[in-house]
Amino acid sequence: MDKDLFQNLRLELRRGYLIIAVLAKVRIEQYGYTLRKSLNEIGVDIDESSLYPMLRRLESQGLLVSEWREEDKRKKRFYRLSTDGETILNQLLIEWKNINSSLEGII
Amino acid sequence: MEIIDAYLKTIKLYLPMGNREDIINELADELYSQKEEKEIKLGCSLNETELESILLKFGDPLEVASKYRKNRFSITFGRQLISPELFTYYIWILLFNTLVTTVWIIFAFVNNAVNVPMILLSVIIQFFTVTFVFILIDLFRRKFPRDWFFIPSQMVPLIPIPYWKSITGLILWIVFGLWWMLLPRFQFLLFGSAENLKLTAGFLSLNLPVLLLLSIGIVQRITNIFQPNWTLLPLVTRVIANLGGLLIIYFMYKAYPYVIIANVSANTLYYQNLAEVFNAIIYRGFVVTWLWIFFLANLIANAITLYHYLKWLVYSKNIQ
Repeated sequence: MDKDLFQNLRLELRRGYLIIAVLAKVRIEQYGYTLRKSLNEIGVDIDESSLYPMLRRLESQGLLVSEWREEDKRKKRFYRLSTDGETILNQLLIEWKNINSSLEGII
Repeated sequence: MEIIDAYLKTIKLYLPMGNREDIINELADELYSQKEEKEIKLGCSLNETELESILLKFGDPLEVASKYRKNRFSITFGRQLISPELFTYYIWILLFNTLVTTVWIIFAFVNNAVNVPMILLSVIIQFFTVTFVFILIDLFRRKFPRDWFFIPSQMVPLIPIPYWKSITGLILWIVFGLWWMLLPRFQFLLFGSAENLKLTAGFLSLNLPVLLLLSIGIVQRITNIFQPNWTLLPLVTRVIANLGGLLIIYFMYKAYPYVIIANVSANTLYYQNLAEVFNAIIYRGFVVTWLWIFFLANLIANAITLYHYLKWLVYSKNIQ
């Protein structure tokens, strides 16, 4: 079995649910480090070099808003879900649940 | 601390212009948070190896930076030949080369030194050479993911010089050194079948100084094969070599012309034109254009790295 093929398919699968996980997590304001930690705690592994560019992309798409604030003597960038992000997240969650129930019917 | 800063600086070099500072500040917070978390867990400050392990896990600076680029193009032919991380630089170098070639072609065309097939050939050669070099770089990056680009210049003191690097450099230097050494006696190595051309005394007088510089590079590489931890040596050698290179370029500039006709014969006019082409290529194509820029840029870059290295040595001595 081709290991690369499995990895590629796995990455494709992950790409979709990672966005949902990130959007869902920033309903409560967080900065990158705590966000990554909280995702890891619930079993969603994401490395730093993927998370931060994704946060920026989601922000440029208007799904997140961010602001720089000082905490523990260091400047941190806090992210939270925007109003548009909230709407999109709800739509994605409905879609996710539909896919899930369809898949369960097949498997 | 300095290693993290050096690592961030390296990422910054590869980031798209515009929001570099913003991205770096955010990544700095992540790295320092990880460092603090580890320190709390261990109950003491992290040593160099522990700090380095955080950075290694974070990834190759070039790859980290490339994820911030909107367009991630690559060249794939069955398998990926030039990855998205290198693609931007490949295009830049290709454009730069095209620009230099265009200027040179215009100059040569005006002076009737080239014809259309020669122009096409030189453009094709340029394209394939740059592409081939980038394919090789990409291959090396994949084969040696840690040792290739993942060396922030200021982190040089920490990482031993890989054998393959010293051996490849040694082979290249020896081949070029041999060619250069044999050139005064066997000038067909430069002129090919154009036997009625010869090198001038001015050009030949630079043979020994260039050989001396090459031998410094050869000695450095042999030494680093046996002593890969002597990371200061290549830096010092490069500074000396580039300084020497600049001096040689100055004397080369003064030594014009480099090629003349050996004997007056029936084909004198043809050889005179050919000598002019050789002189123009060496003089305008190398001496007064990119060769001195190359040596100067390398000298500055290596002098800066050497400065950071020495600063690092003082810093690590102080914390011991």
